Amino acid sequence: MIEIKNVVKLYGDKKALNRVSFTVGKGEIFGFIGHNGAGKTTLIKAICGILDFDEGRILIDGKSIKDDPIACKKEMAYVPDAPELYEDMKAISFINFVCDMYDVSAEARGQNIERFAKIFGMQDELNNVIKSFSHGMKQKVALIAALAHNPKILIMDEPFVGLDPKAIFDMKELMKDIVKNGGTIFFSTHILDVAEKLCDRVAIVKNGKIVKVGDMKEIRGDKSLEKVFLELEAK
Amino acid sequence: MSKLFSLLKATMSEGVQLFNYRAKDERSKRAMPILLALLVGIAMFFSVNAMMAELKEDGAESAVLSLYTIVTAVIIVTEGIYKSSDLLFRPRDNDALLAMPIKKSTIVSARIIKFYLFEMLYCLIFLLPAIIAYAMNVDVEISYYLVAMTMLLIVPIIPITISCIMGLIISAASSKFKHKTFLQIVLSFAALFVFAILILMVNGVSDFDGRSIIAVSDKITEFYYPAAAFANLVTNFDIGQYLILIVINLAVLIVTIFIISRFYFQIITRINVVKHAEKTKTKYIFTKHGQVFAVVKKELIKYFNTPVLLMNTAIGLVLFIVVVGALCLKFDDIAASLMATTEDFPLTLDEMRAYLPSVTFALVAFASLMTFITSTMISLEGGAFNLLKSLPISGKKVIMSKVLAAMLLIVPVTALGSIAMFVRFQFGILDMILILIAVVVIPLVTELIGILINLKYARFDAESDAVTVKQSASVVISTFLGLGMVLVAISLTFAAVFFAGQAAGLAMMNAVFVVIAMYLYFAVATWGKERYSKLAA
Repeated sequence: MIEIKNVVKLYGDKKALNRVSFTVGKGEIFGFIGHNGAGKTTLIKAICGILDFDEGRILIDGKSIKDDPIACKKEMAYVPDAPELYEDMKAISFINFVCDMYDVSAEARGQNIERFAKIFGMQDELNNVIKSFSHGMKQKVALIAALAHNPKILIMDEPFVGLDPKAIFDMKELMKDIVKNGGTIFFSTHILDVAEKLCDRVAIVKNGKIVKVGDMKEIRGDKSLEKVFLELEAK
Repeated sequence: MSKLFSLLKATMSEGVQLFNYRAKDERSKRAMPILLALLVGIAMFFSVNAMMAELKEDGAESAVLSLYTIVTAVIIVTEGIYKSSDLLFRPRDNDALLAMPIKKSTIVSARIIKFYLFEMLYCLIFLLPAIIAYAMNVDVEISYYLVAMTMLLIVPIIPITISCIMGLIISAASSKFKHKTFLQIVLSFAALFVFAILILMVNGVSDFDGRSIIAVSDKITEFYYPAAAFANLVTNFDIGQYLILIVINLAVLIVTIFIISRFYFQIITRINVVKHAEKTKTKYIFTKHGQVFAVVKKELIKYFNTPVLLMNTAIGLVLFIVVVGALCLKFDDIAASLMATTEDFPLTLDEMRAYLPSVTFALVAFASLMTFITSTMISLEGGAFNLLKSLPISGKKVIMSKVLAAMLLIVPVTALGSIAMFVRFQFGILDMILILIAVVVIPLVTELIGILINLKYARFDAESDAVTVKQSASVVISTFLGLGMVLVAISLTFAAVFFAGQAAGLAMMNAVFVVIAMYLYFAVATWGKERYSKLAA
């Protein structure tokens, strides 16, 4: 579903991404782990077509994000790390705006929005302006907007930050449900316990380079993911 | 004091950052705003210098200093009134600063000093040319340089304190109500209106025939002490008066900081309370729209919820409405007073009436070219720009939707104003068609230029919308460019009408604007699209 081949991203002379390569298969929950400033958000932005990159290729379902960005973006949904949304809009207007971008029919969006709003406990909140929401509520609005068009690939940058415990639980269940139905999830996180329990595969990035990638069981061995990560960081 | 200095350094570096393009390929961008400011300053210098020649004959050269002191002060107050509420009370770093062990008066001082430093730009553009022109035309003493330098530093103080107090009153009043933004806009317009009336009423400034600079200067010095003191100190330096002038300005500043600090916390608290709708089992409406409609709607919501943007871009349109209204209601009186200004006025009343289509065309050009709404539309996306870029909509469509949204704000106003002129003065069909073409084409040119400037100078890291709207490189460039374009367009319109006749002249101008619009559209479709794809918040 997502093929990342030798991607290089330069910020001036600094290599934020240094020949990053891996593949995320259909129906996988793929965790992307790394220290602060390792390059996680940069790669996520590159995959979503937000940030241009200098070398390499990123293919979404066989299509290049550089050559055919619109077709790639139609397959994906992006949830940013900080929910910087359109603060003056009502939540429902914002979600409708995102649905309009994906050409979602009125009927389909109605069903999806009501379903996901219920899951995140937002069904009676969507008529409020976004700036009146807490961080967690904004995150939930971003998630509802991302899920409302049934994306094949869900890309999330630190999706659990700011969510309350129930929402985190519901989010994890939802992620499992999405992959069960053939979807693919790629997300970055610092919460290693969650990644360990949730992810089928994982990549660990350090200073822009992938230092480990593979099946969770393979990477972890008989240690915890936290231990593996800390050992790699110490090297 | 050290906290104030540190805070000022931090906030200033953030403000200056908007002009700081450090990447190798972006360094040239620093030059454009400086170059345009310099051009306006030079143009001001030549106009002051010409004025000096007339004043020299009457031995009243110092009048120019009083005049430009008040011009600078009026400009700072006018644009400060609607900017101060946002700059003082709505910066994004309020929460972080209020959580720190810093006195509120220190935070307020830093905000006001930053405001003051940015307003210095107007001193450099309007007052400095007058100071230089005076020094070049009059045999000045060494004390002149001391007084002139001091004036450059203190002239913005009283205007910004007036703006800040008005901002305080507007924020305090609007923060009590549910529809804070709407009330802030209404009160800001009301404050501007009151200020304009006061300026016209003080000692009968409106009674002037506009020809006597000395008379204007004399009247100014009667009601605005710094302007009077400047002229006095230049012609007759007195250390006592010099010190009084400085002390008065500093005292006004300190009292203002004290007053604002007193209410700062309460106002910020009230501003941040957003009325949360009741939890109700609402039936949501799900309607499908096209991408362009959705982006336009989003832009209009942003526009009407950003008072500083609305105020900043509505001034040209408000002036258009006022002038069109005055012409429709009082044309004969206006024409008569114009004809009375000189004995050999070149036009009769009927001839002036015959040229009204050109005047309407020029007014449309003025209102449209002064209204650069798109020049901040990319930057105002802020962090949400990344989200927009992740959506399956092409860069070109986003850009053109923003242009369309801006045009939807301008065209109805200029179209209705033009139609009022058509009806009142019975324009011919051809004139009406030519004006209506201008109503669409000129704002299209303006907004395409605006969006291209913003694409080149986009910054997503401003501390508040007010900083993006009033102090970003993109806005500085579009403001100066707009002024230049207004002058060129109006001059060319009347030149074309004079040489080729009214209909042919207006048709030629429309043709020029159409060609420019086509070129700009091509630039958006190529460079603009490419640039959009490279931007990220």
